[in-house]
Amino acid sequence: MNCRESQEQLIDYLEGNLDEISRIELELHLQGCVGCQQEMRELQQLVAALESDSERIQVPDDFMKNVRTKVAKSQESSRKSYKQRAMIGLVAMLFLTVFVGTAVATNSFASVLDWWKDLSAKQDEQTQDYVQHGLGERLNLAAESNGVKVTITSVVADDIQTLIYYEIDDQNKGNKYMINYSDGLKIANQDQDWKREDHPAYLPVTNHLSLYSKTDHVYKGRLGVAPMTTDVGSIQLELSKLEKVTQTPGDPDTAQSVSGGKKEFVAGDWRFDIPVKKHPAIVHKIHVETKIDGNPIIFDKLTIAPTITVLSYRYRNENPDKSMEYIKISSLESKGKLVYDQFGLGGYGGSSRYEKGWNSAEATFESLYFEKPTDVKIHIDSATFSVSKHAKFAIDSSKGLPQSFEYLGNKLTIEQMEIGTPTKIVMTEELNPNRAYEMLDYHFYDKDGHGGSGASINGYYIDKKGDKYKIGDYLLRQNELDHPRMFSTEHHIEFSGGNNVPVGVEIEGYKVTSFYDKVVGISLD
Amino acid sequence: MITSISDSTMLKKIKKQDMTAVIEWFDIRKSKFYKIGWAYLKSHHDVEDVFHNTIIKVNEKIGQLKEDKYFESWVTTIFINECRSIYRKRKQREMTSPLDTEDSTPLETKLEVLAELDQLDEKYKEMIILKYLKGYSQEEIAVILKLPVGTVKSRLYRGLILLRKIIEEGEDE
Repeated sequence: MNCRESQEQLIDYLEGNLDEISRIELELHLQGCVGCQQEMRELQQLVAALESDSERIQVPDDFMKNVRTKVAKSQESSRKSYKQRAMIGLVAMLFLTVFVGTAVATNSFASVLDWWKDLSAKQDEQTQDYVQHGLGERLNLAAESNGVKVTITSVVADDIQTLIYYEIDDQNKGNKYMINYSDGLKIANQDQDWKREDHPAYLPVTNHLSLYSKTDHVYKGRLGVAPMTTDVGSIQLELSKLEKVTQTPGDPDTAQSVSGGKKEFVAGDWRFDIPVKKHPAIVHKIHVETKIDGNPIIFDKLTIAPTITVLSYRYRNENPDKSMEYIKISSLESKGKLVYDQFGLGGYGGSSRYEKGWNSAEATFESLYFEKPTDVKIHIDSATFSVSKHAKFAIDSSKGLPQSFEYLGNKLTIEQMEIGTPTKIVMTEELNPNRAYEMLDYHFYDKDGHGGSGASINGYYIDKKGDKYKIGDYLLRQNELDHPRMFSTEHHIEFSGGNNVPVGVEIEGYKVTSFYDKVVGISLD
Repeated sequence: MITSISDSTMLKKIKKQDMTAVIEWFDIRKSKFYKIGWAYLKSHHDVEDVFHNTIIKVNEKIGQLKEDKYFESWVTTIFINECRSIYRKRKQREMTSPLDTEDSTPLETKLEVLAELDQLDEKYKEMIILKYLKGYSQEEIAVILKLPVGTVKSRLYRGLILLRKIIEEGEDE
């Protein structure tokens, strides 16, 4: 053994990882080599010193308590976004229901359909724009398997995200299939070409949007993928199954089964090597402060990418009893043109976090890339506050359902409860014109006071004039309404924990929205 | 055995996005994770933030975990990424306002070897922290940092050699 070989094995030797033969070989070398012996001893001392230092690091007494408090605080502030997600789930169901056929059950469906067609047409226009400006690539990569043809039609990539547009044509003309990005999708080169964040379960594909297709057996969709680390590269997309789109239009039962997880798939093998050229975003560092209800808001950064505009800001809550949960920045204005909040439709949905007393958030808007703005007006529409007002209601197990109780003068009713894993609960709320709150922060609990629940919530927007609109119809186009406030009326709750038997519901507080219509101007250099 | 049973029920709860279970999981392992965080950042408050951010992310992204056996390394990857991100942000801040020397706890002066870790390049520093403070095996580190085992080994060696050099230079001054 020579010195180089010896050095290669020192680490394993220190760990006691060497097999008998290698260990003896190494020890023989060490006996004869003063240099390596010296090095080994020094490394041993160093490791011992590290380990003894490590022993002396003690977790401070209050540590986990502080962590718990912090987590509780930010959970509080993320409830709003959780609620948004629940709603988006509901709208996704609507999407699935709508695109299957052209027969539409109700008028409000028709209006959603029109809006959706419009959205899909806009996506088409935008793609054409990208291609014309050399920011996107028109592709025609097709692969066929089991009578189903998948075509990648175009791709646009920037620093924020990569958008892949695709079509799926059932050659037997019997079904419609879509990509389910969490089942049956793999990116073969994800380890090399994406940041290793969130490994090993990490998947760079983060969102999906259904697009309108007028042909019965052709499905159109868009995949949103995290940006690649390289500027030029390729996405090795591999699909092993496709999800059958099973809904019947206007039938709530089949729409429910989507969330119930009864999914049908067609297996196959579709592979693509999608060429990607990433286009840089324009990043403007800014520092503009404003205040809402006494709470400071600081705008830090405006990122203008070809596919999306991202406004990064942070805010701090000064009043613990009435904390600001969500600031609605309805639009950005540049040279008289308004771009609106994307509600996740733009792909990248923004991130949020809580750090050192500040809530950081990102709002996403349609792209301003071609406008090349020199200054931008930020339109702050409203802020939603969380107010603490505690109440607890026990469910009387000796009596049947429904059971009602009152919160702030409003009647809530537990209509149904089906014990299982998870337990399913239906709760409704009255909606009177003078209701003191908009949405509730609540949770169900079991006999030990534990339990977690998720809910799908439905309800209405009520605008400035007092007109009512279904949440499902307007969630993603709130900008068409004047000062909308979101009122919940119906909750489909999934409860799990302990023995899955909830014994009561605890209300922590409620949400109310104030409107400001504040305009903050920022100049970009 | 008991731990592994309670671990698997805990993981089930974590997978149902039960935040209490995520916090419990960390509470049991707080000492090890605190060591990683402290060795990395040397600031009590920053480590608190790393715990907080990791807990939130684990709860949020648990759906992306594909195999249960990877849970701990998955969590550690997130934890290390959070350390990195706070460390880098702080570096940036220090460059703009160099007077910001908060949190120089007395502990720091006692732990001489750890104090020198900051002078190492991140890639070596992480290696040494995971190996000698957390006690992961080379294979586990390879999974956490997504590197070949050979690279882990050579970086450990190189890291130790560099660290020794830094300490020697410090003594000479």
